[in-house]
Amino acid sequence: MTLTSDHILSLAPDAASAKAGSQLATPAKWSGLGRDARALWGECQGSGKTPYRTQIDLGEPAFKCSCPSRKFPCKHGLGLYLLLSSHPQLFTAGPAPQWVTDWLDSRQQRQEKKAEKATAQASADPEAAAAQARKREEKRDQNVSRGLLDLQTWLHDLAREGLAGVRERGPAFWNGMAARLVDAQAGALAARLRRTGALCFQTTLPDWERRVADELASLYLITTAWQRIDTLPELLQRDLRSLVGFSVTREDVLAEPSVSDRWLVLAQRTDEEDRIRSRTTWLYGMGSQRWALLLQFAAGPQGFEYTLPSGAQFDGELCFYPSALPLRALPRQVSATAPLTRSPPGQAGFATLLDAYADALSSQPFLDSWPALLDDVVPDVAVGTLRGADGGALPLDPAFRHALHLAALSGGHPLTLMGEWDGHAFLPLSAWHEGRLYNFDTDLPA
Amino acid sequence: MSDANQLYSLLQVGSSRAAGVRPPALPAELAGILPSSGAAGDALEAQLWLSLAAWSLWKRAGQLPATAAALPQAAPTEELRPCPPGAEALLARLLQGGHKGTLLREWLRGLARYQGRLPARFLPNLLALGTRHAELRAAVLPVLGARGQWVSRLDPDWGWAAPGIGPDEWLMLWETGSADQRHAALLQWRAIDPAAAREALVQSWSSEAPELRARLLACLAAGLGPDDEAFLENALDDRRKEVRLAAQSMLVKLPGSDLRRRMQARVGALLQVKRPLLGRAGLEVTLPEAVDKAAARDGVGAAPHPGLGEKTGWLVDLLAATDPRDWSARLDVRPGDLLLMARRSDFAHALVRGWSSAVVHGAASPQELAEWIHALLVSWLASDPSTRYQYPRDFFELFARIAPAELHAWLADFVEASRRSWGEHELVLLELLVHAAERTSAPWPAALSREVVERLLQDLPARQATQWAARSALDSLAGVVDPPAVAGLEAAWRARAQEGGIHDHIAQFFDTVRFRHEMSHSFQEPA
Repeated sequence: MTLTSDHILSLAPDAASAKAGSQLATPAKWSGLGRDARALWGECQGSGKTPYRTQIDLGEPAFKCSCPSRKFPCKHGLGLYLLLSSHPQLFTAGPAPQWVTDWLDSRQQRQEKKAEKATAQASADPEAAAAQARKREEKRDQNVSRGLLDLQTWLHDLAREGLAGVRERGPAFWNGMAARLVDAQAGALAARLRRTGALCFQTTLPDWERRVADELASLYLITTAWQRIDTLPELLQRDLRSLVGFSVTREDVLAEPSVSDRWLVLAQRTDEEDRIRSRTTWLYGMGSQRWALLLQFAAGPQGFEYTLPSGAQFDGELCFYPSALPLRALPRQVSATAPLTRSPPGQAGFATLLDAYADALSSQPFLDSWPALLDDVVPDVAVGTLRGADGGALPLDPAFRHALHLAALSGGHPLTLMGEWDGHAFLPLSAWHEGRLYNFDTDLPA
Repeated sequence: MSDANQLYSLLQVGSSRAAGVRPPALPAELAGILPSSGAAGDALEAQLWLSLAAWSLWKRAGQLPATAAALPQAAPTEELRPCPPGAEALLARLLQGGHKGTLLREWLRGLARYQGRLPARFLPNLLALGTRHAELRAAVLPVLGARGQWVSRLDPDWGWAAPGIGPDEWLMLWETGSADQRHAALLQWRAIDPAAAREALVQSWSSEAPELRARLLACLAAGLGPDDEAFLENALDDRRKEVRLAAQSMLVKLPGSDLRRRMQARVGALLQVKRPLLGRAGLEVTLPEAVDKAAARDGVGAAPHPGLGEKTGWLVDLLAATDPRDWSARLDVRPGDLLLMARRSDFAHALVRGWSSAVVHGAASPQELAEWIHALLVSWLASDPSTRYQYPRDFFELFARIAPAELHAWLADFVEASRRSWGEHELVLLELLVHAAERTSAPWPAALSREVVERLLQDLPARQATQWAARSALDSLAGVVDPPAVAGLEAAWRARAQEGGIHDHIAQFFDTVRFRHEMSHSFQEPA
């Protein structure tokens, strides 16, 4: 199975690689092109004397190239893949050369080793390890309690002095408190506080004052909830802990019962902060009709573990992080991806979405935004609303940057939208138009 | 709702500045679940934050859809074919940047020939590009499709792409618009209904601001006809020089105008062919002695001619306003020979200047003047730099108006006549080819493309003195040469290519040519 060129470009680590890769996708640059059922390979003449050997494991897909680039996948990998989609006849089917089979074999061995290691780890002296972990946890709980009390006092002071002067105090005001939260091992809250502070300086948002106040109020709610965490339902306790910054190990998540389904990759966004790239992917299970959120991180030139391009689908098993409202998940097993061929099943009318959101809030009141597929909506970007089939209107998020592109895709006709609803406004993430999915973050030039 | 607003404003001001103010009461459903405020020092602040948190959650959970306003009309059905997928992928690459602007224009023309429309997802980008680069607009308009015209209404800056407006709107804009809007309205109106547009200008002429007159008058250049003559004649008496010059240049362009007849009468016998018994025939030039009021009104002596004397300048003005074919007929000498004689005469600069402007700015079409244009090009190639400098700066704009086949045949002749390997001597020819490449969009025939690129790559890149010229010529030629013919030359070049410098530039040239090749293929896919 091969991907369309848009899907391939969405695998690129950054825009520069996407551009360089598409410029390499011309037959003249390549020699020794070939493919078999598992892989794809070719040699690309670069600036050096010997050509680079580029190979792709079509399963995931995974890339390898002999060039010195630290980007992953590199431009040669992308170029080779793009060439396959534009000139498939150039690739002769045949047995893979030695250098390709070596790589494929070593990949397989590594995966087997990883599985072995996982089972080996589990058996190593569980009791002593558990005791040590408990001790660390207790210490951290104390730290966090101290940090949250500090935050509460800070918020009290802020309420006394008023929010009106908060913009003039500059970013240092926010960063100081955030740093204290990091010291108190409440990293996730620190990041959230920083983001809240950044809202003050985002001059394009008309209602930033309301947003900042709401965010601070929900931070306050977290501090009070933490003080009586023992009285909360068990799963909500897990949510609260992860909001503060306690992480759950991969192994623990993968030990949860899995959900196997046909998953549609409906939206994807990649952000970069301090050389760490994070990729958020929304998945929708066809059979289970449930949403899953995949969060992946990659540092520097490293690639993401799963390359699941938006507009693709795959069969697989997901394990959800324990939560009162499970959304975040980890894949346990993923089949090869195939392009989405039919419109994802959206719900017409906004009532279902609003009811679902109210239900979600009642089981997890710290919830921020909620994913939804809306069928039959007409965007009216002149007034910034979405109109449903039943005549109702929901506001479009003023932070949505692709309103004109959305208008162009729809042309005033109804279409299917995937996005997030935060209780105030809808933020579109992708749209289904003329037989394919457009992910606003990657498929539309800025 | 007002309660929540009170909460927000209390938080903005700060509790310390609002002493004695009680936080607003929450609805009963919420008030019941909030913990009762304690007596601690922070009780008021804690209550404020918790009330807001509860309020905001309550509101988010209970949001209801608003009643939608009436929707604007949806885009009508498309008449044009969808863009082929291969071409769409190439457009995505073009929009990533790093390519020459002419490639995008060629892509747009390809789509128009295919009778296709732009993919919807790229419409905002192309409308924004067209707004920034006005020269793209003509290529964008035919491929916008119904959807594109619909989208263009969403941003006031995209008005240029909105479906054509009718005479009523023009009249309204003309009467009430800003200076720029009125100018644009007059220009569009003139293209559709020249007589009505002129009448509108005549009506308002006396009340137009003097500094605006020349600009508005120049709009008449579109659809110029005999009916405009009377009005233009009047404008020759305007108090502003810019207006007089604009009127004069349009009357020169108007075939059979009275001004042309008057100028024709003035040139009389300024030029004579002198055939001595021995030696070659030459041109004898008699300079005009004086300029009377009527001649000055017709523009003789109005424009400066740096480097020429006053009387010589009059000669230039007279030649520029008359038909050059008249001279070859009257003196019974072919244009080529006439120019040879001119270059030998003492008045070489004035004669070349007058005739070349007559060809560019005169009334006859380039088709009628083909022999003259060819002769002027031959003369340009053979001249020294100071004579070449006499050609008007917009002389090569003519290339856009000549039939491509004819132009290509001339270029092929010039190239054929040059040496197999170009050196410094051929830089003039190269300059001419670059002018042609930049001003015409019709692709060159295969043979011409191959001959030019082969000669260009032979020696020019290797020599320091000619490297720069070769480099910039490659940039221009990449957009017009025939891709299949030139792609064949790449292998031979690669065999002797080195790394870096000009070689990267040549590699880029071949990349562009290959891209154009892909482009033309992508529009041949069955849709």
